[in-house]
Amino acid sequence: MIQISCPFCGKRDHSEFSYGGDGQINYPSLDASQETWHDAVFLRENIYGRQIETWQHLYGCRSWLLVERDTRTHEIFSVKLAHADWQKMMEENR
Amino acid sequence: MTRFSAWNVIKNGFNGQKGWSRQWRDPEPKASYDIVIVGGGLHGLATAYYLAKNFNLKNIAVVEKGWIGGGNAGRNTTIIRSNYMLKGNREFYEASLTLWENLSHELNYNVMFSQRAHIGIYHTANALDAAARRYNIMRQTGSDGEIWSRDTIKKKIPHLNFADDARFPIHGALVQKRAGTARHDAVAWGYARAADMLGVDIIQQCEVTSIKRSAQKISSLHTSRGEITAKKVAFAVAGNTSRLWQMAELGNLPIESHKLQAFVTEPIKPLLDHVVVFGVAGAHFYISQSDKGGMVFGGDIDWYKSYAQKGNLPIVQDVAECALSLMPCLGRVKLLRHWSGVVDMSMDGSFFMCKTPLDNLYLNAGWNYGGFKASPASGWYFADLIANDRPDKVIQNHDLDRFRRGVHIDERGAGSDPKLHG
Amino acid sequence: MTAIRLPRQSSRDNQDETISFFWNNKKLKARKGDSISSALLSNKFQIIGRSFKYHRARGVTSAGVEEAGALVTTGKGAYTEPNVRASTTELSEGLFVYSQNAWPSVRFDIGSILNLFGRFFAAGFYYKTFMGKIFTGKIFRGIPPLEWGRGTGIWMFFEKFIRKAAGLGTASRLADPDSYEHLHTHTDILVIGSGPAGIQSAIQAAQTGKEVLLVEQDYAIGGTYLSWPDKSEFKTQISKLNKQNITILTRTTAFGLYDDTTIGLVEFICPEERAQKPLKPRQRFHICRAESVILATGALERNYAFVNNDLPGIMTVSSARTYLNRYQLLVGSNIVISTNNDSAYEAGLELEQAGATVTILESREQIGELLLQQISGRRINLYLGSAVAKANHGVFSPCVKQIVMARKTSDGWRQSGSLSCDCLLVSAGWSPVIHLASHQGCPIEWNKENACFISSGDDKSIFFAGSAAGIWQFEDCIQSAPQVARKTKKAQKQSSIIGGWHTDIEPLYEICVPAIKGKAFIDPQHDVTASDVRLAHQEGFISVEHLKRYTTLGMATDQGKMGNIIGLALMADALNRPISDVGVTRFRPPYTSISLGALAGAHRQSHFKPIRRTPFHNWSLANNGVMIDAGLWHRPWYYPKQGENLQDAYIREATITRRSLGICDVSSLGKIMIQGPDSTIFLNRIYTNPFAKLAVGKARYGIILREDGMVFDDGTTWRLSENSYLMTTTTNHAAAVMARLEELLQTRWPELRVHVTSITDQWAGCAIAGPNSRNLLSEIVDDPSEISNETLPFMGVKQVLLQTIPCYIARISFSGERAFEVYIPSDYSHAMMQFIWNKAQMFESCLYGLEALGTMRIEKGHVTGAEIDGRVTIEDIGLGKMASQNKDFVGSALRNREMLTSPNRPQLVGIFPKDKHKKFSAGALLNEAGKTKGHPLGWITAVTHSPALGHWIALGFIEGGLTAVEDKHIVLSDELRSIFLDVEIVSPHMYDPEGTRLHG
Repeated sequence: MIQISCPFCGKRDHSEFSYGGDGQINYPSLDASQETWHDAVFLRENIYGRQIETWQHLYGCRSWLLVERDTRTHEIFSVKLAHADWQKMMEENR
Repeated sequence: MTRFSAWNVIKNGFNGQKGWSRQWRDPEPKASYDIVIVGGGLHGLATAYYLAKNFNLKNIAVVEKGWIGGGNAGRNTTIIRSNYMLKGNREFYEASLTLWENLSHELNYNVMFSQRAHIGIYHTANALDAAARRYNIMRQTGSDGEIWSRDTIKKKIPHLNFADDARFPIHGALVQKRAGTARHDAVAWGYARAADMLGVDIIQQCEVTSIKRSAQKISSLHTSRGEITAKKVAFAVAGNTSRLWQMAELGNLPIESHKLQAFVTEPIKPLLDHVVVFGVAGAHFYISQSDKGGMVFGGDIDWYKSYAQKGNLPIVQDVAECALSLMPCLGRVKLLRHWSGVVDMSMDGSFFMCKTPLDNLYLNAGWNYGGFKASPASGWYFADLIANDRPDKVIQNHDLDRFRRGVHIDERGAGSDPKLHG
Repeated sequence: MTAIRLPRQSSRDNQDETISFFWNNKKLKARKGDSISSALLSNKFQIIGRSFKYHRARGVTSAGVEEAGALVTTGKGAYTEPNVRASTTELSEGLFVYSQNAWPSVRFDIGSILNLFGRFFAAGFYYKTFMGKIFTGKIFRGIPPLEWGRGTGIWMFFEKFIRKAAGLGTASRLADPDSYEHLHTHTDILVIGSGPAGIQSAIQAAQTGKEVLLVEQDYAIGGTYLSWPDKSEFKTQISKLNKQNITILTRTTAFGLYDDTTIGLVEFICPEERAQKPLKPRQRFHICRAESVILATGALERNYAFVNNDLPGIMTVSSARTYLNRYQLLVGSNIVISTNNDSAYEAGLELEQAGATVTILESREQIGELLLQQISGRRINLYLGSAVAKANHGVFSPCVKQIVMARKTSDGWRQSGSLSCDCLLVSAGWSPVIHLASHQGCPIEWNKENACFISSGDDKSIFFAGSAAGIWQFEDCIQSAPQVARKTKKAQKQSSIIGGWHTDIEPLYEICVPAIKGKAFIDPQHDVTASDVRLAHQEGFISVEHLKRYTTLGMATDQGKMGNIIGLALMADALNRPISDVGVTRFRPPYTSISLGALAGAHRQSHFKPIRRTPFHNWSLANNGVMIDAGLWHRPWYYPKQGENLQDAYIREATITRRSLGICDVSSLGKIMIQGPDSTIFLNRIYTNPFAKLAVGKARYGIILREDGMVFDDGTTWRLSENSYLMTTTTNHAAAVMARLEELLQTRWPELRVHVTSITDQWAGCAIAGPNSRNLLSEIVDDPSEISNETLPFMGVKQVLLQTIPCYIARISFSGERAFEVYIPSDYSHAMMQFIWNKAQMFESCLYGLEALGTMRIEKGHVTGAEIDGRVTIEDIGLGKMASQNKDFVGSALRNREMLTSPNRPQLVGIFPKDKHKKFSAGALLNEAGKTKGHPLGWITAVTHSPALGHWIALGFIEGGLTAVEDKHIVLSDELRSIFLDVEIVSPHMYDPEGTRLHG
């Protein structure tokens, strides 16, 4: 069981979360070109090693998180709120 | 090479098995080949075999970083079926099933393909009707398929869950009788032995460490056993495709690597003669019994991306629940072993077999769950692609650019999220 | 071997409790505390099982989890459990124990004829034959060697027999009647194993204030301590242990080590306890999260390969010691011990003291003074440089009776005489139990000096102690207990000296003497022999992975605990390379087999997946509703009157609704509150159609696309106020839409000030449809003027009071009739529904379920999940006009790709049978007449009998849509159900296409 430290809820089993996907994809704006959207939606770097990825604490606070995890070992290095402003507020209030 | 036959088995029984020789050679890699296939799994070995057999090509090598058949070839649940309905997939998997039916003879190696029928269980009339479309398409395109009522299923397998308190009562089934299981390792060894006999060099413990290329071509492969140049290079390394692709500086692929777990119980006397499968309300499960007696089963992928060949408990629990919901008698049967393999999950759940941005590089990847059953056709069509430098009509939409054109070969309708194609 | 029961020594133990059990239905007696093995041995049963492939007689080979011979079936009927290790299973009163894999009996097994033909069944023989096809009919030509032709026939014919011969025990076909529990456990330190090192580790960890959980797979705590004659040290340690606040679980297997030090534990509930409290679960599955895990899992003693090394009467030395000191059972009176290491000598002395004649064959040519002194003056014969070349059984008994000795010469091992014996004990070295560390991929290395694999954990959270670390001496094992640092929660490794024999161990894997032929087993459970390994080598299967798969070495129920190392050693020898070069395969969980029942726990039968019930569920049941599964939901399907079947009921329900009034539970639709100043902007990005100008008090139907441009979901969204909306989704996609909205807001558009809340469960909903719907509402709302056609026109939304309860009413229609959806706070739903239904009696009215709902939506051509199957575009379902050209929305970029805009794509149509009496089903295909082979032109997604039209109708897709097939002769083919019809392709809007019934 991978343990993910949710910034709101603390350390929880990964079965409480749902995996989103590659957190490093730069999704373009809605008016971007078809080609730009193609690359964002269909292509993956598929990192072998440490990657930033998104998870949602589905059966918890429902926050979307940015998790830095090694895809070779499942070791987690950091967990942040995906919403940058919220993350900043968390850090300031720590 | 001693031919495999009952006669020779008996003869060697008397002479202390002295007549058997190496099933494939252990050659030193040559400095150059006409074709180098990277990946000594089922697809790579089958490709080498059909290149040699169908196109009479000689100077071929398969390079494998570990031992042949050591990846997903030896980690899958050995199910063979052709119940795909979308154009391209339908023809491809049907061709594969047809090749399977004669594979033991073709390779002179008993791959133990046992056509014990694939029974897809459905729990409501609507779900059965929706799936009937698939089986009607199969029937209309020359395959087999039939529909079973609850009573028929009960007659055939009375110990499935027909209890009143079943969460999802069994409504009916769609059945492909020609489907079944095979001995997965034997397929790898059979292709290796047959390819070797046709002169293919199978080079194990030979990892590609870097790739030398020009703007338009791969010029050579640096391997742990020296530099190898090749006129044509083919990748068949599902699970690790992205890594090799990036080694060739080709950027990103429509593939994510995920891990899929598989399970086997202790051997028990025959309990289940068929492959039985169901999917309902987020649960997904398939089970069969091996010839040794172990119940072999699996379910969903572990949802998160991974290159680690180790599973985690949530899916273990999930499949155990599914197992008991299908066969409540399995409660006292014990899990012997569970393991996991890394699979290429693609954006629409279908594979890629195509030319690439480089003139002499060919790609075979993105097999999702479907790699084992696909092996013979994969070898067949990939060999054809490499030899003729153009895709057959069957695989013409299985290229990397299909999403640019808006072609989604999405059998499940799950959309462009790889983890949902489990 | 005839085991002798000795009296118990200590006074406390003297109150011998006798229990009875059944062996193959024969009632026998044993002592309380016995394992099945010790009970059978004490009753003089030596042949316990039959082997997997050759059906050779097998007896007790160990006293632990490495047991290779004594596998039995316990229980009867639904309580049958196959493949139970007799060596580790606690005997309980009245337990039924059966031998398995034998017919007619374990002593006389017909299957053992296979042993005679063993020479033909070498590793992999089945890969080399059984190829080709079979003539079914009277003449059978598939018999080898007459293999011919292609196909799978011959294999499938012989496979039936192979399958019957394979397998071990027989599982019941009845549902497991027992229950299982799941527990979630958290601890600082988990210690696995309660031998000397485990107990010491637990004490030390607890002393620093850590929370400690100690688990032991055996039904008694103590591990190796239990096998020793002197219990004083053990008692001291136990009293120390008991002073600490340590949770101890016996009968608990740590079966797997998973990510982040999560350990799977299965606890077997004491049979005695269950006999008294039958509602207790059979097993508990603990999912344990620990900061650190200390593996004090011990080491397993190995056998080695010699001819007939599998005969009953041959077991490991340490197990004889366990039987003696733990079970007071002397396993033989004339005992030969064959060893290559020091550990066997203490056992030899104890066995001699218990009254046996003991001969030690020591494979080393010299042993240390200490050992020599120990045995001098005792009735122990010692042969140095000796081992066993072959074991022989008696004429009428398959048990060991004599051994042929081998002597080490400069030329290798040579035959050197024979000894009679009734028991042969073997010790060819020890393998530390490193399995759990291997599950997590910790490095494993071959330790040449100690002839075993060793792992040292990961130095972070996985630690070893005692013989699991390859430490052999008692004091060293105690010393090796990891120190728990006070400041950190984690344990730290002690530097310990690995090894510790007085005289070095000398590797011993196989004795192979010229002129002695026969089967020398390396994996007795799977009947893998030394010659199988050599054959694998001969055929090129030289890597461990290939060896394992080709010979099936290590794949039996013990997962190679005994045989793997011997196999590796033999392969290394054949390759002329060191063992370290051959490598080891990764161990996989579980360490010992665990029941699927324990893993599934309570999630069985009706509890397999949680049932979602709407707030009206009980009300519907009380009103004769029949439920149907819709995903996890139970939704009302139809409400039969007496004597009605499904079809009668739904036709009546749809008819009455269209004629007058029907009420339907729609609570399972997803309901999401969207609130905040940027809600309008947000919705305008989500939906394909414009939402910017939706007025307060109005609803709008909208379509959501996936980013790839395919239709994701649909539903109506109601503007409740300037900054708040209520979005409804399909039942199926409610959760996915919610997660998607949250993802977009939190990861893509954090600048939008919008909050989304799922209120699906908080609000119940019912549709009130039909010409009398407003009349009914007028009876129930406080102020009927609020729902007039003027104040609440089509697509209007209102908050009204129903009986003083604020509810929402929206004038939307899925049925195509004048209709309203009423949303009620869930807590009031039951009472409210009762109220509405009472008032509905003033009209001709009915309750209608999912089937009638389906009928009316098919008549109207409204799409559901049957059509929106993840592969369709908005144009495909005929709603292309809903895709705004004036704004960008999710999916707008990719929906315009070439193949998604092709006019040839299958498009939504209606289907009528030409012969109006004909019935057909969804899943049927549409073809052009005469072209019924190959891919079809289209397919049917939904079928119903339309009461409005008076015949069967359908929705489906056909290439190019209605216009493309206008002048074509289309036939419906359903080969599966043998239905072939001429059909007419029509507009999907088959009933009231102008929508006049909605208005007014």
